[in-house]
Amino acid sequence: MAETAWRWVAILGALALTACGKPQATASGDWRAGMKVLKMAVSGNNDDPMLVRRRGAYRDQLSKALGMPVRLYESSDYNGVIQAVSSGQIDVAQIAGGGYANVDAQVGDKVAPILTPRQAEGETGYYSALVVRADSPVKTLADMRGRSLGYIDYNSTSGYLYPRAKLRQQGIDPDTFFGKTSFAGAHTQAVMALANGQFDGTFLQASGGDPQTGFTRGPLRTMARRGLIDLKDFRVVWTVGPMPSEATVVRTDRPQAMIDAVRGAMAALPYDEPELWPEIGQLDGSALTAVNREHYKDIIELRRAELAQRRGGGRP
Amino acid sequence: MRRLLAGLAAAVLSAGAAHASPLRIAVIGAGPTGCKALDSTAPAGERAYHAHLAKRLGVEVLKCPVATPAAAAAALAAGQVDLAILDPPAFAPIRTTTRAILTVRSDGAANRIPVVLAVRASDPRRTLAGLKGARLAFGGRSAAGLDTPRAMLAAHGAPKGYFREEIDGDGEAAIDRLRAGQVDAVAVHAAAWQRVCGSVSPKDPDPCRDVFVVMKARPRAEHALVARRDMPLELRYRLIGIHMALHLEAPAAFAYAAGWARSPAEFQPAEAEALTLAVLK
Repeated sequence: MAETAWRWVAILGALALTACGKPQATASGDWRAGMKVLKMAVSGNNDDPMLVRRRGAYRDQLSKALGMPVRLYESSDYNGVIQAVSSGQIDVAQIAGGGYANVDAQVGDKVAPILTPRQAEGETGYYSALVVRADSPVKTLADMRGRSLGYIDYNSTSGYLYPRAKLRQQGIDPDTFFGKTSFAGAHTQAVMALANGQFDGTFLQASGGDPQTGFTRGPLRTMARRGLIDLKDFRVVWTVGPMPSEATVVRTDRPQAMIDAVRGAMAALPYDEPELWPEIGQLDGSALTAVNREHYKDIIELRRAELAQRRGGGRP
Repeated sequence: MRRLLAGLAAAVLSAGAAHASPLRIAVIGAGPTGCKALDSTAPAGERAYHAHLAKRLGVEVLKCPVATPAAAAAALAAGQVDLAILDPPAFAPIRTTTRAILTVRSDGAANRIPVVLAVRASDPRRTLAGLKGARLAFGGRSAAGLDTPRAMLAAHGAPKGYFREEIDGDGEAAIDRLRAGQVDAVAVHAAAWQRVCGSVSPKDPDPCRDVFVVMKARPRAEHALVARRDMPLELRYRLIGIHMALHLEAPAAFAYAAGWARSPAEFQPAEAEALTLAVLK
């Protein structure tokens, strides 16, 4: 009897430990059953310490919230992230609006945007700025006729998709207006190429303000802060926007509990860690707001039109 | 030994039951005390809200009527409910064991942006009290430029009329006038402050060394959804994630759940001390 009783004590003890070890939130069934790690894709390289800090902050916050490791997958170009999320190799990604439009064209509602930044003044968009060297004779958009232009990437919203669409709306065909066009690959490379005189102008992302207030974020500011360039060496001659800001997107075939926790944990970061938020390159006073596909419908339409144009033989 | 076995069995069953614990929401209003599931006579919006939470969390959702905000706070502190909508007076007695998790942003309102109150570094007045009657410039007439700083200052005991107010075009202009000695202080939102005072060059890590920050704080929330501090982190974040998207995914549920706010636009996450006068600096 005593031996049997102690066996029951052991069994009940084990059960109790198992029960106590599970957090309350898993009451709906352990959604982690099929997930050992959360995989998150980010684009860009490790040259910018602020970007590295930002990724680390998101990784730590999500890992803490989900109780599982978070593995970051870094891609040096836009397409790497787009293909990773479209193919389902990763669970979460941060991606520009144009990139999401590309994903949407590939896999539709298998991927959904869940968050986007909302700035202090309420904007949820950013701008594209046509930038030239300060010593350039180019003073206006019209002066760029026949001159060389560096786009960022075919999947860049501010560095390709949006300014081209807005040029067309103004009656300018971007495929014939500029003398020569090329892709720099990323904003940092575009600024360096512009500084080195490889082209006359480039479209760069600008945010954290508007054309009236000025901008506090974007590749020019980031590079200036790192001492790589001097802001005085560059000049903005034309801006367009706002366009919908980057999205945090998720695979919709993942557990809903994971999606809800990711949305909540990421959005809580500026409130949980108010001193960290500006240190990771986010504008103080900004926050993340919930979005869905509807928020990006204009960009999705622009991407469709761009694809149609491309199939029709446009360049580059 | 039998008693030991019985005790252990009870403990295990109790622990198991905790897993299927319902989500208990305090609701101020008349009615029998105790938590119960909604019946078919409940308003459609309330039923939609409970159904949405139940589906997303996989637990039963119960309504727990309480007579007053203070009673809701007491029930929350005692672990008798899991969520309650509280105001600052109701929250104050239970702030050590509970925390704000969500607020509602009204349509057209700014985020709950931190506001910076600053003076020239050479000014000996380094407190809000010391600045009574001072010339204060706001940065613009927008919600973020005027309403939010005013709300923050009023909550801290400096309502309209406390300063000699001036309103500049934007935060940058206000800071320029402070530096030029044309006003004694500025109250600008944190983004405007960052535009002027954020470092843009390693050669100049502190562009605002000539200005002193008296205080930096978010406006106090008028109401917030409050939970116990020992709520599991994942559950808190899931609740935040679910509520943030409620206006997009379940508009009827949102209309009910945020019905206590003026012209509700969306739920926003909140810092633990959103219902207090906590300062960031």
